[in-house]
Formats: sequence, C-alpha cells, structure tokens
Amino acid sequence: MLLTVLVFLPAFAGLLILLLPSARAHHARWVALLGSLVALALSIVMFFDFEKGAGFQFIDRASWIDVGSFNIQYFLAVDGLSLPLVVLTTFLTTASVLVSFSIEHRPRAYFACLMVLSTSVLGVFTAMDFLLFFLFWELELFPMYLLISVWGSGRREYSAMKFVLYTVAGSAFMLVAILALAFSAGTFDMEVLGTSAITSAVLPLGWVFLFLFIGFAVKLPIVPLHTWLPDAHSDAPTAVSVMLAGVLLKMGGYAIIRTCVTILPDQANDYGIWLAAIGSISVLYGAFVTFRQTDVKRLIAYSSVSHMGLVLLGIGALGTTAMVGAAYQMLAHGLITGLLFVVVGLMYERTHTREIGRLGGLARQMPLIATGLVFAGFASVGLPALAGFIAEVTVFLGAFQKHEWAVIMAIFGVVLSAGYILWTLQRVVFGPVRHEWDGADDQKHWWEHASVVGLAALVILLGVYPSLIMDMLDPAIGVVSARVAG
Amino acid sequence: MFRAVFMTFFGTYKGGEAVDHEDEDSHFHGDPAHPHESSWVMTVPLLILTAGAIAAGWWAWGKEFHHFVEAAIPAEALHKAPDFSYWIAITSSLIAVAGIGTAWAIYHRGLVSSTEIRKVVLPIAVLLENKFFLDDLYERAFAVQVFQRGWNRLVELFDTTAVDGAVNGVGWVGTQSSRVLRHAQTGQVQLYGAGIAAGVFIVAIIVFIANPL
Repeated sequence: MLLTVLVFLPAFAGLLILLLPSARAHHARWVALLGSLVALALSIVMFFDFEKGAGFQFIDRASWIDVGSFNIQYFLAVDGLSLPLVVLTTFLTTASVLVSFSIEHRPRAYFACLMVLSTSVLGVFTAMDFLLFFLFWELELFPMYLLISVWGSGRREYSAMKFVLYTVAGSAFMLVAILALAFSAGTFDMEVLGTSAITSAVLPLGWVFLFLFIGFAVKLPIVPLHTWLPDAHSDAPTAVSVMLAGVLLKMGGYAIIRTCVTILPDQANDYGIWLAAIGSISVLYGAFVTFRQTDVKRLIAYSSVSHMGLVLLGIGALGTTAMVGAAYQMLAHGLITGLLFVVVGLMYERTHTREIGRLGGLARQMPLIATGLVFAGFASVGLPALAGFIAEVTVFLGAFQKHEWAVIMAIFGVVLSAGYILWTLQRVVFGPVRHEWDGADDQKHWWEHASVVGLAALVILLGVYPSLIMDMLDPAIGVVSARVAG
Repeated sequence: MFRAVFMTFFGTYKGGEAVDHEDEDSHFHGDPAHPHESSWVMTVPLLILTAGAIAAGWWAWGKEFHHFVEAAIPAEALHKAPDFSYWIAITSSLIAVAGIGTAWAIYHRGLVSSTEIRKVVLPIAVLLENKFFLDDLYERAFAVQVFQRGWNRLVELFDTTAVDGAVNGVGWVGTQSSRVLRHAQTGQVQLYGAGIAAGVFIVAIIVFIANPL
C-alpha cells in the first residue's frame, strides 16, 4: 500500500493543483512543494525500513486485466536497485519544484505536469509487471511534451516533438520485445520472467534482447541515438532539465539491468562486449563534442552522453562490482548533473544568456552561484570525496578485467571531462569581469539556496559514505550477476 | 639563484610608484614606494625553514640519513648505493661557488653586461626564455589546432550532419514522399476502381506464380 501511495502521491497533488481556483493559482507551487516533500519523506522512511538483501519488498499486487491465459497485474515492488532510484526521483522532484518557484506563466498547469512526470518515473522504477512498466514509460512522454513545448525556450516545439518521436520509436521496438517475451513465457510478471529460463520465443532471443536494448538505449542515451538530448535540454525549462538529466536518463540504465540483463542473461553474455564498446565510444564521442559546445546547457547535455556511457560500460561487464558501479554512476550523475542544471538555470534567469562567449567573470557579481557551478563542475570531473569519483572508480575496477580496452578508452574520457569542465569554469566564472552583468543578483531566495545546498550535500554524502547505497545495491545486483554467470 | 639575490637585495632601488587602493581589481595592498620588513607571520616560518634546511644538510653526516631510510629500501639496491665521496662533494661545492661568483660579477659588479652575453648565445637564450617552446607546442599547436579546431570539430560535424542529419532526413523523406503521393488521392471513384482492378490483377499473377495450376 505504501508504494502505491508514494507513486500516485505526486499525481494526486497535481490533480489538487488543477482544482485550485484561478484566484489561488499562485498557491500551486506550495501544493506541489508539499506533495513532493511528503513523497520524499515517505521514500526516505522506506529507504531506512528496507531490509537489505531480502529481495523485492513493499509489494503491492492485484490482478488488473485478466483475459484468456494472460493475467496482467498491477504489481509494484522495490529492491536494492530500484529503491535508491526512487529516493533520487522524489529528491529531484522536490528540487525541481523549488527551482520553479518563480514561474509565473500558467503555474497550475506547469506544476501539475511536473507532478505527473514524477509519478510516471516513480512508476517505471517500481512497476514489476512488464505491461504496467510500459504504461508508465509512455505516460512520461505526455507531461514532458507539454513542459518543453509550452514552458521551454528557443526551438521548443521542434525539441519536444523530437524527444517524443525518438522515445516512441524506441518504445515500438520495446513493445515488440515485451510481447515476444510474454507469448513465450505466458506472463508479464517481471519477477517471474527474471527467474525463469527463457530458451525460445516467437522471435530469435537475440532480436528480443536487441529490441529491448534499442528502446532503453534511446533514453540512456547512447551514441548514435543521442541527438534528441541536447535539443531537449537546451530548450527545456530548468526544472525539466533537472528531471530529464537527473532521473529520466536513469530509466534507460535501470531498465537495461532490470530487463535485458536479468530476463535474458545468455544474450547479455553474448552482447556484453558490444555494450561495453558502445559505452566507451559514447564516453569519448560525447566528450569530444562537448568541447565544441558554446551553449552551457548543450555542453552539460553532451557531457551527460559521455557520463552515461560509463553506465553502459559498467553494465556491459556484467559483474557485480561493475554493475554496482553503473547503478552508482546513475545516482551520482543524477545529483551532479541536476545540480549543474539548477545552477546554470539560476545564472540564465539573471543574464538571459547561455552563450559561454557572453559570460565571464561571474564570480565577482554572483559569488554564490559561481561557487555552486565550480562545486558541481568539480563533482562532474570526479573529484575524490564527491559522488562521481566513487562511481567511476567502481565501474573501472569492475569492468577492467573483462574489457580492458574499453576501460582504458573510457579513462581517457575522464581526462577529457577535466578539460572541458575546467575550461568552461574558466570562461564563465573566472576571467575579466563583464560590467554588462553588474546589476545581476546573486542567489538570494530561500528556495534557490535550498535546492543548491541540498543537492551539494547529497553529492558529498555519496562521496564520503558510499556504503549507505552500496550495501543496498550490492545484494540486488549480485542476484543479477549470479544469473548471468549461470 | 644568486642572480635573483643580487638583483633583489643589492644595487640601486628600482621600486614602483604608489598604488591606487581605490582600484577594486587590484589585489595589492602594500606600498611599492616604501618596502618594509615582513611581520612575524612571514619571519617565523622563514626561520624554521632555514633551521630545517641547515639541519637537513648535516643529517647526512656519519651516514645518519642512510641508516634512517635503509629499512625502506630493498637490500640489493642498498648495496649499489655509492659511498660518500670527498671528490664529488668538493667539486660540486666549487661549481656552486663559481656560479655565485659569476652571478656576483655580472649582476652585482656589472663586470660583464648580461645583455652582451645574451647576444652571444642568442639562439640558446631564446630557446630557454620560451621554455623550449613546449608550452606553445602543447597549447597553440596541439590543444587549439589539432584537438579543438581539428579533431573535435570533425566529430561535431559528424554529429550534426551525419547523426542528426539522418534523423531529420527521415522526417524530410516522409514529408517529401507524402507531397508526391498525395496527388494520387484525387477523390475520383473511377481512378480508385482502376487502382483496385490493377491491384487484384497483380495479386492474381503473384498467386499464380507461387501456386501454378
């Protein structure tokens, strides 16, 4: 029951927001904040209530569509892999609401969309029936399309449409694979699918694996299926960029571990080397293109392509350590990139530009925002004692013995990330003061402080106390890697 | 080293003018026209470091330092360590003194003009003054030209034209083909009837080829 309440609580808050009379439209943000805070509190309670290593918990199960030989269930549950991602989602939802506090254009519709988005992502991370999972996966498109095309900037309609078309095209492959699996195993239950040996299907199992992978790879994203990401990021409002980079990309990595690798372990063994290779190529390719970006948000978007490549590299190694590293990288990247987008959003609100060439010397005019950007930048490079370092080291440690060359290539990607991040900081934060920005405020509202400080604190917490999460990930991923090992 | 010493502490004073403390961009808070001795926060650490530097030199006396570190060094490497040699010690000290003397002659007494020496060994001087041009090689040639303007631009070009171009190309093909195909939708029932007849004919031929009677 608890999990159902958690998943639908944001959507319920969204419904309440839509019911607000127009005279009270400015209260929308408070309802959204309250809803997201309660969801956050609930997820933290579950986090500490969770019994580590005891499989799926907080199970909510009911028969939903019972027709013929198929029983499609309403089945929610979390394990050590999904629960940290659930907490990440509720946390970033709260941060997104806070950074949207000054929104004035149609606030009720805006916050309602944000809340529905949160519910759909929580649904993806908790659904254990494949069709329910698919439903939540598709539900996410609806609020995202509206958020980008109505509250975005630049070529927002183009970017929103591109995002939707890309995901739907990937979903088509995914649905074919889901149906093929369900027809051969006679169930949509992901727990059953993940424990039974599937030896044949209406399609060759290699294809099923590939089709599922394509659907998730678009979300991750990997090269060459990534070009929707920079467009969506640069044209989306700040909060949506935070959600997009913070949790939506993680749906891809999560789903690859949960379905591709867990349900089809033999095919995962066959294709693991390819996943690692694609991951490494994404790391380097993303980094090279990042160097050429002149828009700060596009720059962070391409750096995300690079950093998410590490997730795929870790998954491709299929061992416990590497996949724990991949999951940790998802959490670390979610927090760090979320923080980067929050800070860049604050900067954009004041300067109305994201062109690196027009910025410079902002440490003088906005010391707090500049500090936030430098901190997030260092975290993104993978400075020790911050979350990204633990994640990268774990991926490299776990993947090295299996795919030496892929890891060696990816390590150069880390060097490149130091290059583009430090160069960006130098051009945006330091250097000669631009008197153009003399009147600009620094971070001053409490909600701006709260989101930056909260995210930064978690980045440090995950950087110095990794066992908080690792102890939870380790047994859950251990089950998956044991299945792959046969 | 002693070039720095003679030029800083001896000879005529060449100090600058008073700074404008109103200038916010300047981080300099002293007064170059009236240099003064530093306060104890500088002096005390300097004294400690000086004492340490002298003590560290004497530590080698009687192989004291040798015995201190020998436990941390593999035994076979220890045997290869040469013994203290007076010859090396005296020669190196003489070379150091000669260096100090040369610095004194050039920069304190001005016996030989430093600009004259520079002219004589000009190519070497230029090479040294530019740190063997390694910074230029890395930054201007490698980082800017080869890496950023060459390779990275190439990858970016591939990204925008080939990868993203393919994506937008799919949309373009859809629009263009619909532009052509929509002319077939004329609304004339006769034309549709002719199309259906042609379709049936083609299907009949295919069926006939697949299953000859």
